[in-house]
Amino acid sequence: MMKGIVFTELIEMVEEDLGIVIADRMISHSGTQHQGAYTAVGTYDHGELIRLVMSLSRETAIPVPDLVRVFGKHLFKRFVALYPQFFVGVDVAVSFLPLIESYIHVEVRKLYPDAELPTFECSECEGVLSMTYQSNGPFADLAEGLILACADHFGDPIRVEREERGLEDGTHAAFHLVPHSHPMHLPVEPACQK
Amino acid sequence: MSEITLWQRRFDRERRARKEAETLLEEKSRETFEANQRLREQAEQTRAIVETAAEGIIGYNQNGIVRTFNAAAAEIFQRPQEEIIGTAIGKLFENGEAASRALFPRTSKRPLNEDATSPSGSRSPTDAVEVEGARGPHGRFACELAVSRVDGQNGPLFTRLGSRFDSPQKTRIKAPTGTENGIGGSVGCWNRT
Repeated sequence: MMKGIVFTELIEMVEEDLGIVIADRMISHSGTQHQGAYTAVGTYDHGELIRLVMSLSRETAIPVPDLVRVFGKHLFKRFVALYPQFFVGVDVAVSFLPLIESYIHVEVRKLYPDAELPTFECSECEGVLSMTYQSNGPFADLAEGLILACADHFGDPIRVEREERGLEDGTHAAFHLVPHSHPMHLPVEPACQK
Repeated sequence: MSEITLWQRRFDRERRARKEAETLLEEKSRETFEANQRLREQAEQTRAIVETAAEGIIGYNQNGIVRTFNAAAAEIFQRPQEEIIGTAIGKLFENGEAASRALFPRTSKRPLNEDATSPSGSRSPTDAVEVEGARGPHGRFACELAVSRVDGQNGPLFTRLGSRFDSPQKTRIKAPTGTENGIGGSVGCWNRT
């Protein structure tokens, strides 16, 4: 299950960037149960989001992973606008990202006990922050977009390197936030792996 | 498809979403009302227990300001509740190292019994400490205090339980006598930090 804000923001992004015609086609051709009627405070099957994005991909001929990454970037900007309290006192991405699991998700669960949230396990080694993403849904691309937008937001001089994990179906991946000056290349040095 | 039709469809989606949001809001409002009702009942129960307890119970915050002073405490200290609530807890006891240690356990050499945590998060009381209670101009009385602690959601809750005893024989007496030496009864306090 996924919070409705993800659905409402997707539709708003498509309406703003691609227009109401594409948005309408995306919804009407997606075959989703709710047919585009989402509320930010509701909770919906994440399969509906997948169907919406696949439908959008068909309409625009843009690959699904690219669309989802772009949506992740859009979503991060919206989070900054909607929930500024989570960004107070934080000035670098590598300080903010570990807070997703230890602070933000804790607060989300207080408000929405039924929320199914992904996990972001963070570790740092030799100046590289590694985030291991795991979810019931295949949204590693969304996570990547969020992380990239986070780095942009704070202006950190870092690059994000992605490492597929598990079944490589987008439910499990590691993201390494590497400073530009760092010589690291994938795979991660064994000394840094858990 | 005409633009009007597109906007009509969009409007229809918004209307359905709004109805769903209203339904969810109604559910949340009902849940919140019921939760508040339960909290009110629990608060009333707790207040009734505190007010009717035979033990004197004094609640004070981390700054030492008295927030709760039950009827038994008022009888023991021979001071009305409204006079004590809002004042410093230290005024209820004669100054002394033992009283300070008992009232503020962080500086105490008798730490909370960290190993004796119950499933509910409460901890066994520390060893009792003898202190002197003050009745202002009306005299003093011996008081035995101990500290127990419950880890609540808003931080630890310290509970001080004590028994006044007949000094110098130190014989426990069940009911306050109201004599000059204030012998009898018991005193308890808690401290939220």
